[in-house]
Amino acid sequence: MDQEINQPIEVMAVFERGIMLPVRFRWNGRVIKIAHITSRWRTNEGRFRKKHYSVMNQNSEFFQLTYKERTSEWFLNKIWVE
Amino acid sequence: MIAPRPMKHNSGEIIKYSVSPKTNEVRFPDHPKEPVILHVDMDAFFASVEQKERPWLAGKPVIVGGDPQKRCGVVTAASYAAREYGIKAGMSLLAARRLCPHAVFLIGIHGEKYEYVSSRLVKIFRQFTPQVEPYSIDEAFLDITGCERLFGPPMELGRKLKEKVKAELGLSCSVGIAPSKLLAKLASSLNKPNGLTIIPKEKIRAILNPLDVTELCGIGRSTAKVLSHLGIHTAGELASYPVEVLKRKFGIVGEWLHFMANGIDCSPVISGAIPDKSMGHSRTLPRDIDDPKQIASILLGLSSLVARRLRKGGFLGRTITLRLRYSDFFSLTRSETIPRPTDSEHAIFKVAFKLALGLVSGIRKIRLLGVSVSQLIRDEKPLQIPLPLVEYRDKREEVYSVMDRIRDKFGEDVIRWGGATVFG
Repeated sequence: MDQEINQPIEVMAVFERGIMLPVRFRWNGRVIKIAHITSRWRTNEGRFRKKHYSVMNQNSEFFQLTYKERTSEWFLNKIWVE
Repeated sequence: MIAPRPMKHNSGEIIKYSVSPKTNEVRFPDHPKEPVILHVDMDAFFASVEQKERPWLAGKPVIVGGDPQKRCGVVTAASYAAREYGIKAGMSLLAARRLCPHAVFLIGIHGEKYEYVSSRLVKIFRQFTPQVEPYSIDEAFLDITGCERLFGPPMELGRKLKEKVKAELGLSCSVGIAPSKLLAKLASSLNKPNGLTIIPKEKIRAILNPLDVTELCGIGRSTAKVLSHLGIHTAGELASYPVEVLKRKFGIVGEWLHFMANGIDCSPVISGAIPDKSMGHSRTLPRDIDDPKQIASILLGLSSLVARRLRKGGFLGRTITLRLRYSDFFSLTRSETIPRPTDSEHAIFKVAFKLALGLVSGIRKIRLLGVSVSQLIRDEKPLQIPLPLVEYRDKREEVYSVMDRIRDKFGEDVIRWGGATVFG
């Protein structure tokens, strides 16, 4: 099941053909390398955008990240726990 | 015999058509070709979006539901594997858990995510035809008349569309193709999931006749019950029933039922936005209440949401409706029409709260509250408001305008009226 985390995190991202994609992030002292982006979508916060990414690492752990355009911040929103 | 006549579509458009008295065949004089309509219905949409996002859930029973802590504990969508256990949308999560304890329950509806995927679907559909009518978040009608030269025969187009949706979004859909919207929707439902069904003109009667009336789009349980009292159970029986009797029993709807059972539907695919008839919001409350102060706070919050949507859409409304559900699930609505149309949350709140106070019994507490505004007209504000009207404008109008600008810039939740409940 999903577990809400909602913590600010540091993220390293790349731009591919104008699309921002996270590649790794630091959370709880761990550096997590993103192996696969399973889904991404956008929502609006006023005139600013929030970009959401569902990602998995090599160990098939699942994370949901959000980039808030208004404050240029990344958040870890959710993780999956069995 | 069905006399040729123009039919007024609910969009207001007059559609000219004629019906052959011998074969019941519909002819569209304004249409150079027989229409070809395609209906796309996404398979278990919400559950499939979640499974795409969490690949390890593919093929497993997955149930998407409201949050029981917010007392919205019902199944919103179930994957096909979950449906095999008898789980259906609308069922309580408790009942679903009883039927399939090992299912994966994803709690909380991510409406914005589904809307985003839905908007991407519409973009894909528009690559095939500009005539796309989104029917709901996971369904759309496409008028593909005359698209053969670009994409091949309708069946080929349907196949290409399914492939594109799968390749770009990783989702499967069921497609129905027929000469009308009614039949296309029926076709997509005949072979789910991941189906591609065509109903050719010559097979319409053979496919329709044995169907239960409830399988026709728009015939619900109550209509089916009345039809059953008339001895009508199948579309074939409805098709051959005297239309005059149906008209006496159901009014204008009787004629519509007759058309439908005969596979006649001349409603066009409307690609533009369909104008809203009303705007409203409702909430199941975290706990049952009967305190007028709490009721006021919730109604001001709901009225603010409705008024914001009215202003955003450029509408004013006259009829304010309060929807209320008591703790014993007894529901009722009360409406009041005000003399002048409004887009002010305080004007809407004033009426809604007055209506609510008349319904607070002290015996039963309230579980759900809703506010909606109908009789909408376009707000055509003059650049300079004529003096006699000034007194009627809400004095808070400037404040609304400033609040709207702040929300436009920073988001909906950043500012609210003191005392109003905020709905996340």
